[in-house]
Amino acid sequence: VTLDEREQQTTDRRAPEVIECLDGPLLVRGATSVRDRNDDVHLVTRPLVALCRCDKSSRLPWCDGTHKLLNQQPGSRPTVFAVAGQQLREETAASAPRRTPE
Amino acid sequence: MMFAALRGRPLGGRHLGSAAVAITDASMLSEDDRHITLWSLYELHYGGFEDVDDRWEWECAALSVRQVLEAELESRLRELTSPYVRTVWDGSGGVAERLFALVEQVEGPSVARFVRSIYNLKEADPHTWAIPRLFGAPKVALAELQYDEYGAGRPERQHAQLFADTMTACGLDCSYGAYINDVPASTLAVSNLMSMFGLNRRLRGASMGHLAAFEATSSLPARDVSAGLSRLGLGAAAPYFDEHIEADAVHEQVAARNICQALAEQDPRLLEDIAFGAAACLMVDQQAAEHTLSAWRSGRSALRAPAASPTDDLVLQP
Repeated sequence: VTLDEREQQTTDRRAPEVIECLDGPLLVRGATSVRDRNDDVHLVTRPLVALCRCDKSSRLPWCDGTHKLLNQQPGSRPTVFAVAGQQLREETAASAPRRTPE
Repeated sequence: MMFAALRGRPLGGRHLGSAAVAITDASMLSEDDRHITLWSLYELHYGGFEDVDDRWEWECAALSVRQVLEAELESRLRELTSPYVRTVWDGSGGVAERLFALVEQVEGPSVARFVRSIYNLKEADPHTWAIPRLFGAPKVALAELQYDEYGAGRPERQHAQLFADTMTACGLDCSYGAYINDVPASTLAVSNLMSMFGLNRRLRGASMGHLAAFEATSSLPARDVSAGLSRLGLGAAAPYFDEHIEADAVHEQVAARNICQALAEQDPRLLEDIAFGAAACLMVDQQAAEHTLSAWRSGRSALRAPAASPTDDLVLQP
């Protein structure tokens, strides 16, 4: 293992982990901040955060459970969040790769 | 009688005998007495009482009373929840989706979740008992959830501490158990249910099902309570609820998916108890909320009459 490879491995391990919840939020583990579509940065203060995907949360970008009150069609998700190093950038679904629902 | 016995010396394994306490049948006690007795016996495993010898925690006589009362509570709830357990068992889709569907089916008045200092001042503790009783992925997920409940390394962010701050902001006494003699059986039942599930390894599935239902009925009511407090000029009391909007939106996913679903995949025999725990949580919460709301609707306090003092004032550890 070269020094470069080791550095890459370390960076990979530190990158946030994204978990998609069926008809629910995205769970992100290990992020330090989240950047929303207005380029506002929100600091992450807990080990695991839930990012809204229904766009109806009262506390965007965080999930507040509102999706449970909506009759959401499976798959109609307006946004996804792409991982960018230690930060997450919210992008429109058209410009970011979709993750396969679990 | 029970409380007088607890003030005395532990018996070193001997039974309490007919002179002291011999609760051999739960029907010997009223519902209020059953729950305050059970709550006090569980308290021996949490903070204890200043004037009760700590060795009572594992005293056979105390444990045998606890078993009688637990057996009655469990069998009554198994009967009450059986139709709902069946819907989870027969349901399609993942365990998490079936639990969310159950919550939607049973969820009662949302006041249930938050107006109960009896539990909130030891928030998260009852489910922590399950950590050493799980293994692998569900254990890791529960530990991660509880870490967040306990403030993620910051004492001032511990949920129980945030609730104490909220009580103070509302002019209430936040010392632990300050209102124990004032709350009705239906409120004590909420706390006792969690302790029963947590303290019996056999019921670890129920404990985790309970957690999933509990977390899934939290974030939306917290949002409403927070907005209500701000409207009433009690903004200083809102941080606890604001924290729960975001924390429990995470926790409900973790509890249903990473804990319950993973646990059921690991040991399918636990699915029935996971469903039982979830349904029992919802029904006991519903009963407590109905009691509270019906009292408020008729202009009464939901608390017990002030004269009653069932624990005979056992002194809780500070």
